[in-house]
Amino acid sequence: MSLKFGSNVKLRPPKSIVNFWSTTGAAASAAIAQKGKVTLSGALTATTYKELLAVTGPGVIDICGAYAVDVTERTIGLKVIIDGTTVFDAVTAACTTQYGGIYAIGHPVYFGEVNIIPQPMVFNSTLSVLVKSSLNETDKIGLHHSYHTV
Amino acid sequence: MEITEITINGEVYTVTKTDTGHIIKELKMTDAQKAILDTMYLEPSLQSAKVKAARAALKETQIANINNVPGLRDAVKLLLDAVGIEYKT
Repeated sequence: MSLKFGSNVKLRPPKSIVNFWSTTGAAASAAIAQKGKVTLSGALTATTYKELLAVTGPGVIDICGAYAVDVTERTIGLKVIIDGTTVFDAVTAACTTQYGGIYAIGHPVYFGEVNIIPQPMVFNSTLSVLVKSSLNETDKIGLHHSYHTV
Repeated sequence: MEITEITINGEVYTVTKTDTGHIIKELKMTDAQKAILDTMYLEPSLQSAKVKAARAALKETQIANINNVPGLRDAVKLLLDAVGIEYKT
């Protein structure tokens, strides 16, 4: 029996893996909570989405979340577009918690500290991840993500 | 694999074309942004060292002021407890 996730992508070995450590030079660390690859937002215009990650080609994304870097009150928006379809587009309530945020993919659970259980989602052709804040600000939203191409 | 950089609205993105034909575009982190990320992910032991260093830098008069205000003293104790440091007056 052929086991498939999607119409074109079969279960097969990854061609690349991207996470916190996939860029040479990342600190070796045992503190792995929220240790997926993180990209800061750069400059954001209030309530306007900005694309931080775009992949063309098939793959699997298993963690995708956005969170606040500090305690300033703001809302956080996260949009995920897979194969041209917006599969997630949501904004938090006002957030005043440092590292408080929103996950589209992956389940945050608490075992003494917050951990993220991966939730693999296949994309066959394209993946796009966008974030926004209710404020004009720079580097105050972090995009936490992990994916691999196939 | 081919990696190029493009600039959009003054910010640099890396565009990676892999041997498998994938194209990945992502915002490139500057050294300043990497420093922010490094601070966020300090291991608890390093966080403790950082707080210890900050506390060591406090002047005795400042410590006395903290101790003289019960609410503030309790708040400092809570913060230090959170990073695994025993608060000593």
